[in-house]
Amino acid sequence: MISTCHVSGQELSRYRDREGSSAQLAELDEHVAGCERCKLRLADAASLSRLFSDQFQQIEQELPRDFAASVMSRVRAAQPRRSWLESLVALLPPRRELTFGMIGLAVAASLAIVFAPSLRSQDDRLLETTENEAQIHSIEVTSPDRSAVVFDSAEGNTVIWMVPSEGDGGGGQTVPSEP
Amino acid sequence: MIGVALIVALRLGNAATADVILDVQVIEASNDGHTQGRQSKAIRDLGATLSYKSFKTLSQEQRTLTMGDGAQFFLPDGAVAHISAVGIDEKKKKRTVRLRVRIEQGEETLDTEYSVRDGGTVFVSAGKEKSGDAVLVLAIAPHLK
Repeated sequence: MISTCHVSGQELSRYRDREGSSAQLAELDEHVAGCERCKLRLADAASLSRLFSDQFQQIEQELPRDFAASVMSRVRAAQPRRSWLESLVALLPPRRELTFGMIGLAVAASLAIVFAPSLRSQDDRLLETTENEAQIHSIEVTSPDRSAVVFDSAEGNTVIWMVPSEGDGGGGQTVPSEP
Repeated sequence: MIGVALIVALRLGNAATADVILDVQVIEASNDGHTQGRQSKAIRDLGATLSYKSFKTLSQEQRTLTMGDGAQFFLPDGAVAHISAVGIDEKKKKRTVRLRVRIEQGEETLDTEYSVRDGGTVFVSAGKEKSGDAVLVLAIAPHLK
């Protein structure tokens, strides 16, 4: 039987990161030891965190060598000093809600789809940075396990690429990039 | 005033009925061996972009399309690419061709619409080959007549 408890997702997330005073952590240690619901929530968070980590590694392996540099150059134009990974993470809901919101891996997969086209539409100046670059109006992928990403080739041509996206669930993903 | 309107109307009329020559290369990218022989511009660009060791042009076709028309390209492993010429946009004296590309391979479909400059190339992933780790890439370049 799952007991009722007063610990919020935010508190539990802080506890998982060992944030807070030693008294608070000790109190939560004691609570979690006897609370099946909190144990389950912590286990969910741990497995979700592992899956995200795996997903990012897989995407990185599939992407071209200069993907990070290509994205970085765009990111610098739009938001100075922000890395491409930070930009990806910025598209997520706040981490603690994500951790305990159980939104599933579909979100992780869709990040890759949304990221590049959204950069294109952020600022008209970016549309004119490369003569060869295409303007993407829409991308729709219907696949049980793959999503689309858009990036520039070495010569500035546009590449529309498919990457694995576990947990997509087979639903189509539509990415309109026009404002 | 009427003259300007006529010129604009003529230009729009020409754009609407213009033909586009679609140059479609089917390229296989794999980690077997190394790219040999003379390389096309598209392969050089892909080689500098993707981390595959070998790139090979499997076929290259040119089709002439009228705006609104489409063409089918049959790819290895049963995939089919449907490419349609949607229209022509003109901004600041630059003409871009709007294409719709739909690639079907089994249950998987990639459907995209984009605008690219006259003569510009867009690379579109056309799925993995069933045998080995090779992937197919379409290099699609529209040329306005």
